[in-house]
Amino acid sequence: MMPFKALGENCDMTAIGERVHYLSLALDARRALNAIRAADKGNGRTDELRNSIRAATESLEILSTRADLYAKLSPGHYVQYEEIQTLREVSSSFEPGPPIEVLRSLLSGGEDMPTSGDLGLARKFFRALESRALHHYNDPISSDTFMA
Amino acid sequence: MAEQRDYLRHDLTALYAFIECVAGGVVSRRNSAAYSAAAIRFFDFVEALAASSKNHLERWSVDDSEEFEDRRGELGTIRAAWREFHKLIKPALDADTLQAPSAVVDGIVRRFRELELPGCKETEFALFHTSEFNYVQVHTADLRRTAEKIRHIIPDAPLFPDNLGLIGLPYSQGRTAFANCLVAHEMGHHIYRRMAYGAALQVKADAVLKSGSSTYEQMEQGQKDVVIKALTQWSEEIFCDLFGAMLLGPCYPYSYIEAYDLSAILDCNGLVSGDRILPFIGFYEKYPSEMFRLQQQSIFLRESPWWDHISKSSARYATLLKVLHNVPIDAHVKENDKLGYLIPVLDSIMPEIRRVIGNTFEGVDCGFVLFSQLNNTIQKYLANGIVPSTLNVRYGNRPEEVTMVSPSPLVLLNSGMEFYLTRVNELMCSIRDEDETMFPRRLHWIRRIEEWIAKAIEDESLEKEVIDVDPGGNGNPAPPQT
Repeated sequence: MMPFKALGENCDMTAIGERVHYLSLALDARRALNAIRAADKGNGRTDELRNSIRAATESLEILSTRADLYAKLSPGHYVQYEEIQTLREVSSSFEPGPPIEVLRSLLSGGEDMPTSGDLGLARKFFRALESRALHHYNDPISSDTFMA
Repeated sequence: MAEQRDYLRHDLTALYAFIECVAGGVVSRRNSAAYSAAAIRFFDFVEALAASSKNHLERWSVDDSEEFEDRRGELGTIRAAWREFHKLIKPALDADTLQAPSAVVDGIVRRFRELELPGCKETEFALFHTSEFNYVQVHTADLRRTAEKIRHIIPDAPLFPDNLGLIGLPYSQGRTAFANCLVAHEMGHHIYRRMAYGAALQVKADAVLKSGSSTYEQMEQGQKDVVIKALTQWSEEIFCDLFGAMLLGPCYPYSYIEAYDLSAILDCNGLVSGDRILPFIGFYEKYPSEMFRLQQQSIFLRESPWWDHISKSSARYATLLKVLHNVPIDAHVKENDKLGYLIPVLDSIMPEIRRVIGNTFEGVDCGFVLFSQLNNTIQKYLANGIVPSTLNVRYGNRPEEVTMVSPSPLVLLNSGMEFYLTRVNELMCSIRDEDETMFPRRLHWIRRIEEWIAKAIEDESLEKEVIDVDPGGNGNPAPPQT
């Protein structure tokens, strides 16, 4: 195989995302927001809260540790380019930084009720994620569901 | 909150109206035209999703401003989901059975159902028309996942129908037969997404990149994502081409050559023209070049029983397949300034793609033996203007040693395509006063050949239909057999 001497300079491809994956991420974020709200009101199921935030939490952990996204098959985290790209955009601009610790505690928490502070931060994060995913979905140059 | 709730009522009504507009056409139009069973399943899904969405909106409310902030975004997400279905509904309504080339596509679907993978035997494809000259596939596996996720927001939303594919055909190609062999590529997309082959090919691409250069390891993850995405998309296209070639044999690459005018690559001596490869050798961000794709089909078919027949064919398209085999990978790299560095990586992934194709078609007869037995007879029928629905095939020397055979769609398409590519002149010369130099007359006979093949494919499907006859002739049909 030839050496990739110009690999870095050639990554300026645009508009390679598929819209449906952005929609999928927005729906995931919306599910998490609904579960967080239910938990905040004390009438949600903890397993639904955990399931709704699992993929985002595990993906954020991988992104933060610069671990290898593609080295092995794993259904636990996001693998679609569109999902990873959007998650990275939101986490990099999120104040006060990616809420990994909060999400991890929600994910691993027992039957104890999460604090309203934790739920508030998680809510803020998933609102940002839903908005960003919808922004990409609405982008006129995003490709269609059709595949020629 | 009163004023805000008025705004909210307005927003809810606007979304309700949007859903009503999108789905309303299904209710009003579907009764005025005939649709395939697959299209009807899709329309049923849309109607059920519309009903559940509207019910959800009618019950939708918030208690306070905090909940408003939390939930207002949900309406935008529901609207986005409906936009996703919006683009499919009208094309599907337009492709009623009077417009779509049902017999040929149905024949290819019957071939598809020979796959042993889960769900393939039950799979149906709804067809729609596209304005672009492209055969397209809607990623129903992705739509299915989307529909499942909608259920987390709208709990009584329907699931997307099982084993349903959506394929778009150029609106202009409704009457053609051979061009529609390209739907096999779209069926490949259906399988690729449903079997989630992309994840395995991502892993392979990552491994190849790591073994090829330390530069990749040093890249930012965002850059890696872009590279992996491009390679995965290219791999999917190649997979679908090989799927088409495996499903339909050489008539698939022949259709591909004709659709994209790839025979322009050949010069007068039947060799690759250095000048005329230029429009076909450039890679695109989402697609490998047409020439690379066709070369991979040639390499793939060379390993199959079909190659012996292709190598002896006088068709110019067969010549193209033969000469493309020898184009070196460096020629592709050289002509692709921007993306050329990734072509050797794609080439290194090819064995994995071929392995996945092998797994996909495990236990499926490639059809060549039957083709080689029936091809001459079918072409003899076509040369005499006879629909080759039922062939009388001799298996011995005695008069009664003749059996009747109904050729499969795979055999019919390949024999018909070969006849179309090599024997139109012969057919026309055998007809008194016919002039093979007149384009309208050539087109007339080409259309007739396609109609004969389509009719034979339709007849073959009728032979497979189970009919409950009336054994006593007294108006009581036989009970259905279990």
